[in-house]
Parts: sequence; structure tokens; C-alpha cells
Amino acid sequence: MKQSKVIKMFLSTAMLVSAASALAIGTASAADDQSAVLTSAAQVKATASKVKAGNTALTIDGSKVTVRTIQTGQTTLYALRDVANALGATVKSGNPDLIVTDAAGQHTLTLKADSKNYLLDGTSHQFTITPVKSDGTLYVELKAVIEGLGGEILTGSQEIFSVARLSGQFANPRFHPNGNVIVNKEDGNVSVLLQLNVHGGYSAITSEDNAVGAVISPDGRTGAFTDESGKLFLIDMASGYAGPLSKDTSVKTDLTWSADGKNIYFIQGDKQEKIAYINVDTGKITEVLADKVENKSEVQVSADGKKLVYFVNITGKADNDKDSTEESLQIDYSKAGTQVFSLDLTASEAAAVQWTKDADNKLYLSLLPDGKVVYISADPEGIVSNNVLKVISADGAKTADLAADIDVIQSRLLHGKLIVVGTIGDGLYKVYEISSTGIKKELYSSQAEITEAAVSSSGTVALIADGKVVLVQDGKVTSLTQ
Amino acid sequence: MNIFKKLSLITIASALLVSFPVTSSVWAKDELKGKVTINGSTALLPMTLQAAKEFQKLHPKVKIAASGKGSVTGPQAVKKGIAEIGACDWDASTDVPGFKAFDGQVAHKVAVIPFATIVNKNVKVDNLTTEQLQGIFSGKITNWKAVGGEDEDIVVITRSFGSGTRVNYQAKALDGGDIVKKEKNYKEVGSSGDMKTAVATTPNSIGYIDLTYITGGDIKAVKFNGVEATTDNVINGKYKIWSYGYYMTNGKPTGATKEFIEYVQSKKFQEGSLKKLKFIPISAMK
Repeated sequence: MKQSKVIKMFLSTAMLVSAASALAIGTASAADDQSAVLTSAAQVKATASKVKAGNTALTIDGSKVTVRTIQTGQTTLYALRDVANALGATVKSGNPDLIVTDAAGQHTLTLKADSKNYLLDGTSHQFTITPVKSDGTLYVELKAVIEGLGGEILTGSQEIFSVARLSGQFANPRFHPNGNVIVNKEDGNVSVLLQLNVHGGYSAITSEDNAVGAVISPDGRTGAFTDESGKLFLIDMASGYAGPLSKDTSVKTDLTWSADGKNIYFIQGDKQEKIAYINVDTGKITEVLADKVENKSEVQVSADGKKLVYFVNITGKADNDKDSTEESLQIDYSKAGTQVFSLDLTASEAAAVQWTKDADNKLYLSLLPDGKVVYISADPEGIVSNNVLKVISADGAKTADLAADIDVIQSRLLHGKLIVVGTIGDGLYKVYEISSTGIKKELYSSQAEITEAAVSSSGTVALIADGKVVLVQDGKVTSLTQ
Repeated sequence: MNIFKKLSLITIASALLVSFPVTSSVWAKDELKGKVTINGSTALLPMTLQAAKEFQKLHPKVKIAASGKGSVTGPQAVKKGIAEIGACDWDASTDVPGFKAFDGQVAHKVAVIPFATIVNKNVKVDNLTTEQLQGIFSGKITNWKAVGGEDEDIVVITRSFGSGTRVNYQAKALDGGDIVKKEKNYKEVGSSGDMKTAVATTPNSIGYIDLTYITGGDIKAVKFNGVEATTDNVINGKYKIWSYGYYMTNGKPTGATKEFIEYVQSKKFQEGSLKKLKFIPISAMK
């Protein structure tokens, strides 16, 4: 199977909720249907005499639009038709009412001039300021209309999302090739793989629960995941189409793509005792290591495909007599814990080599482009207070601190760069790019509690901060969720 | 790959708009510390180690050490104070055939474990009834011909005393019947892996194992009273040879032990990694 063929088979993107197309509408809008709003000539004249007309620039879904406004007292009212057009909503006359429906068809607002009362999805509400008709155009409160149609105005700004940002629990940010951010929404009874539009709006990539943990290919176009039968699936990140790559049902965990995107490596077996890879063109599975050492995890493959590193969770050793008597039971946990192993793929019959022996907790294994290996070391005894970034030399001979001054929360290798989240003495949460020699480049700093970070190939940063998904692009910080 | 399934997106939009009470799945500056030791069921060990790996990313300073030696050693280790958690394929706070209750211990359901009767690939039989299994494991039926197979001696492979798989198999497949030791054509093994190997390499053999281990072509599962051993048949109630897997603790757990058990029971783990390791979530049986 050619991956390119697979991708071509996917149909067009199935966006559930799209950001409204932003239009420059300041001069293009037609007058409202004269029959829709009945006002007497005297009323129009009286109203017109009290208001001051003008234009206001708004930012809707990242684009500037100009909207006609009138000033009545201390309040600015906005031309309903201009706002609706900018949101992608439709306006219909339903004599004497105007009926506004949002782009997704989920909300309907029914209102008329000179009445504070309006219906939102069939429920009665009231504006604070009565809508005003001036020169044939109906002007309304912006906030009520935006929120009524499912949008959101950011506090303290004129920035508007046509679709209100999501709230909830988000995890595992990564970038779509189109620049949008892919995250898992994992709260309550809903687990969904989402695409958050950087200019507002969102879409579910798939409803398949198993795809929530999909591992994305280096080019960002394809995800890989397994289901409960053990089958491995590919999912097109643009269309959401998914299909099995192989009929093999052995247990597969810890999927990781090769740098060229041609193979997916994984831990295989009921006891996670093997390492194998599957070719994404052919679906053929090739066994790499079957040394009967159980409980392997986090396999990482070098960009040139010549070296593997992985964790082995070494279990305690329990012994008893043949009758399983309580008196005879003894357990030795002294050697239990996670250790780093390496395998040279260039040597035939090569055996895996254990590179670490310390009893610290080891997390987030990364194999750097120069062959060095990095992991987070946490001391369960508390003697070392920080969770320290450790580096192992390319030959496995030396282990040293890479950044002992950072209390590390997460580290990931992205586009060949080591991206690290942690805190330092000043109490701020920071995102760094750290070289294999320990040189730190600060990418972002915040008082908000950053737990995860991703960096795109162009340098845009996506964060989980205080539980929200935050985008840092060209110095501008945008919270993509509430 | 020619066939792709388009996954339904229809219900997602409204679902996304609903806010649910949440528990934090990722949280920084974690202060939870402690050591959690877990011993017992070898069947539950892969699940325990996977959960430990994920839990430690949330709580880096919690040390989790696990070992497997058969279910009974789980509550035994808790009783002796040499493990905080005993992984056991039955509720060890109650009496079961062969084992008294472990007083003072609290059982926490963590998974559903289906078991299946397995035979070597050369055995022609594909269905066995409760009565036939009782006859085979009690030694009254010794030839496959008596249950519709070839004229060959039956080789019985069974788990050692103290195995949770054995306890559940006796209780559910044999309806409380005995497994009787024989002079010949009989072997006891100490783990699920050894059971798989023994049946796979012994012609005319019969044994029993967790459903997750049935991979490869050298062993095959046989139907039980005409019902195929599948997770779907466990969930829909047609297939009876299954049990909950339990974590046993000495009284109510606290600290890191409590947090770890709650993580294993969480929807995130149950519907995620646990299913991908081919266990059945406990919620599926409600």
C-alpha cells in the first residue's frame, strides 16, 4: 500500500465547525428589508436625531473587519447584518422579526427593532439596550448577538471568535501541517481528537476513541493508533478517515514513527517483550528484537535507523515454595525499576546493552540526532529535589546532568530539537530548547502552570497552560480554549 | 489498504460543548511521593506495569515496583506487609474454593479477565461442555475420542496451586469440579506464559489461559458449552469463564497507593491502555 495512494483516497475535510470567512463588509452591506422592521417615520426621525453613525474595526477569527456602528448614549450598537455576515450567519426577514441563524445552524436569534425582547433558540431573553433602526439598518448590542450565535468576545478586547472556545481538559498538543493545533480532549465521558483552528473554531478529527492517542507522522499528515484487538490503524489527519494497516492482532504499544515516515516502530507482545516495526506502504511487520526481556517501553529509533533505545521496567523477584505458603513468600524489590537499553541495528546478532543501573525513576526517553540519549530522572527518595534532565553519551559510557537547574516536567524531541518544560528558581514555568551540550534557549515563560509543550517546524509554540491550550506565535499569545 | 471507514462525526459537536466534571490528567509541580509495591497475579502484571509508567509521568517521584508470582501471593504479600497492593484474580477478602478470606483486606476491581480452554493445534475438538471438562480435569475422561476427537490420550496441563486462573477456571469452567493430579499425561505450570508454551508444544494437550495470551497458531481456544470465548460474549453475558482482577489492600489505601489505584480505575486508563492490552474495562460489565 502506498501511503500517497491512501491519502488520495481520503475525502475532503469534514469540519464540523468552521471559522467564519472574514469579509471586509464596511461598505458592501445592503439595507435591511424595509418590511421586516416596522417603524414609523416619526420614530426613525426621532431615533436618527439621537444617534451618531460610524464604523468600528473588529477582529473576527483573526481577520480585521469593519462594522457600521451607531452611538446611543454611552453604548455602541453594531449593524446586525454586518456582524452576521462577518460571522457567516444568515439573516432572514420574518415580518416583523429578523431571524438570524449561525453558520453551523445550531443557534437561532429572533429579534425586532424597538423591542428589548428577543428569542434565542426559542427561549425569551432581553437586550440591555433596545435595538435601533437607523437608515434602514438594525443596530444591536454586540455581546448578546455574538454569544447568542455561539461566538465569544475576548474580555477586554475587540477580538471575536465566531465559535466560542472550548472549555475542558486538554492534553498532548501537536501541530497539524496546516498550522492548527491538534489536542486530545479527555474529560468526562468524552475523549476526542480535536483540531483547534489558530484563528478560532475547532473540529473533531474523528469520533474513534482509540485515535485519541494517535501518534502523528513526522510530516504531520498521518496518525497511527491501535484498537482493542491489537490492529494498527492509520488515520488521515485532514479528513479523519482511518483504516487498518495490518490484520496482525498482537499487542502493540509505544508506537513511534521513523524519521522518514516509512516505518512505525512499536513494542510487541502480551508481555511487551519484542520490538518490531511495520512498513506503512506494505503493512509488513518486521521483528527487530525478541530477546525475551519483558516490559519494554518507549522505543526510540535514530534518524538514520541504525540505533534503538528503549526502557525496560525490571520487576521485583518473588519466590515461594511449591505449595505457595505464606511463610515461604519473599520478594526482592532492590533491582526493580526502569532502565535504559540500547540496540545497535547495524550489527547482525547484536544484543541489547543496558546503559543505566541507578534506581531513579526514568521518564520521557529521547534519542538525539547526535546519538546521545536524554531522559528525566526523578529521585523518589527526595535527596535530589529537582526532576533532572540526564544525558547519556552516544556510546552509552557516560551519564551526566544536562540541565540540573531545571525542575523538569516534560521533555520531547520535536523536529530534531529537544523541547523541555520545567520550572527554575524564579518560580516561572518555562519552555526551553536545549542542545545536547546543555545550552538553553528560552522559548516562552509564564506564571501559568505549563504542563506540556510542542513546537512546530516554523517555531510556533503550543502549550497546555493552566489546563488551557495556548498558542505562542510571532510573540503573540492566544488562548485557544477557555 | 483499500477499505477505509469513515467515522461518524455527527454527535461530536454537541458532545464537545458539554462540560463535565474533570479530574486532572496532567498536572505539574506534583508533590506526591512514596513507594508503591505490587505483587501477585502474573496475568495482571502487564497492566500494572503499563499503568505504573503512565502514573509516574503524573507523579514522577512515586516509586512503583511490581512483581508476579501467582494470585495468592498478592494478598499474602499484603498480609505480610511486604507489598502495598496484592494483585489477585479473585476477591481475596472472601472465601473461595481452596483459599480462606484474607481478613481486613479491601478488594478494588481493576479489570475484567476472560479465560479460555485451550488445546494444542492438533486437537480436532472445538467445543467442550461443562460435564466434558469436569471429566477431563478429574481424570475420568482420558481420551479425545470420548469427546468427539481422535483416538489419542489427553494430556492435561494445569496451573499450580495458588494460581488465580486455576481458581477461576475451577469455579466457572468446572462448576466447582476438581483438578486431579495424575501419574501420567499431566503437568503443572507456574505462569500464563508457561501454560501457553506447554500447550503449544505438547500434542493432544488441553489447558486454560487468559484470553489475551491466545495468539499465534500453535494453540486454539475451544468453545464453552457452544459459546465462543470472545470479549463480546463476556460483555453480553453469554460466556461465563471470566473474573474481575482485583488490587487487594490492607484496609483502605492512602497516599500514593490510593492515587495509583484510582488511576488504574480511571476512565482514561480503563478505556485507553487497558483495552489496548486486551483486558476488558470494569465498566463494560455494568
